[in-house]
Amino acid sequence: MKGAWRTFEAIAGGMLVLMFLAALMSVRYQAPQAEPGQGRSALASAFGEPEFRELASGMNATGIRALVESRGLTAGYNVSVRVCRQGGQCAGSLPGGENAWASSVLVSGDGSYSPCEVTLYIYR
Amino acid sequence: MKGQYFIIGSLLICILLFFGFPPEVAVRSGSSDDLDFLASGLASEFPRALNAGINSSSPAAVLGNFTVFSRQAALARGINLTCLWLVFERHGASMNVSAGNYMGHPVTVGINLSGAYAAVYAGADAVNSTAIGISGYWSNLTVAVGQESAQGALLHNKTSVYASFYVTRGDDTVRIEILA
Repeated sequence: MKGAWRTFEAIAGGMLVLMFLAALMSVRYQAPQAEPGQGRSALASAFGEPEFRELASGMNATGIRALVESRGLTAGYNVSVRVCRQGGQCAGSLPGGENAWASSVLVSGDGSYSPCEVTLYIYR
Repeated sequence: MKGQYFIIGSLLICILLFFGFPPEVAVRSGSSDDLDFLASGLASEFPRALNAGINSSSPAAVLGNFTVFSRQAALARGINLTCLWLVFERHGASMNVSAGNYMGHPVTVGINLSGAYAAVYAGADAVNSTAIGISGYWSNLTVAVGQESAQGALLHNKTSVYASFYVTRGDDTVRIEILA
């Protein structure tokens, strides 16, 4: 009986110590927020532009990011774009932040066949 | 001495509890709308892939490659993509039909062009072809697979594609068909 009580005390004490350490290291755990939808709308809007296909085929992630941001639909979020070819070759950057949302479109090429996936991340 | 074992054991239990928390930033890509987004994107991109295939004189091979690419991209997001497509290319008085089966199991596709009928068997992840006699400028197209069928008007003077996509995650499925 004594042992069980000591175990309980040690668990409680251990959890207090670990919580204290977690708070000290500023580690915050939180569930992802709800999908905002702006990323998908912005990507769909940019996808309709004639230059999108040319930028995607050229793996110009910076150009696509500028095109997406020019739509004005991602205000309040940071934006990053990644373009990946079929073989796994990628251009662009992955998102930072604590919450990130991904939307992607598949592009078959620009006149000739050169498939790639364009992924837009919006994050905070 | 006994107490030390209790303390060590309890510390191990505490550490196990904390292992349940994710150490990295979570990237969320799942919601019900993204299935529609993927399906409509494929519907608009498939005819472009067909055009790219026509430019390289291998529409069926290009569509097959684009299907595999799309399926891998979807799978990376936890989405299962299956599809069946037909490419119609005119050769003189007949229409060559290539059937690409990416449904995950063998299928027999029944194709009716204004009364002229052919059945194409295609194994899983395979393309098979047949030819159907045609006359005039267009045909009433009926495509039948199992209990399902689709209809449309098929122009003879252009290479066309019919495709049926199933985009699935868990219990949610979006189906979309195109004839272009």
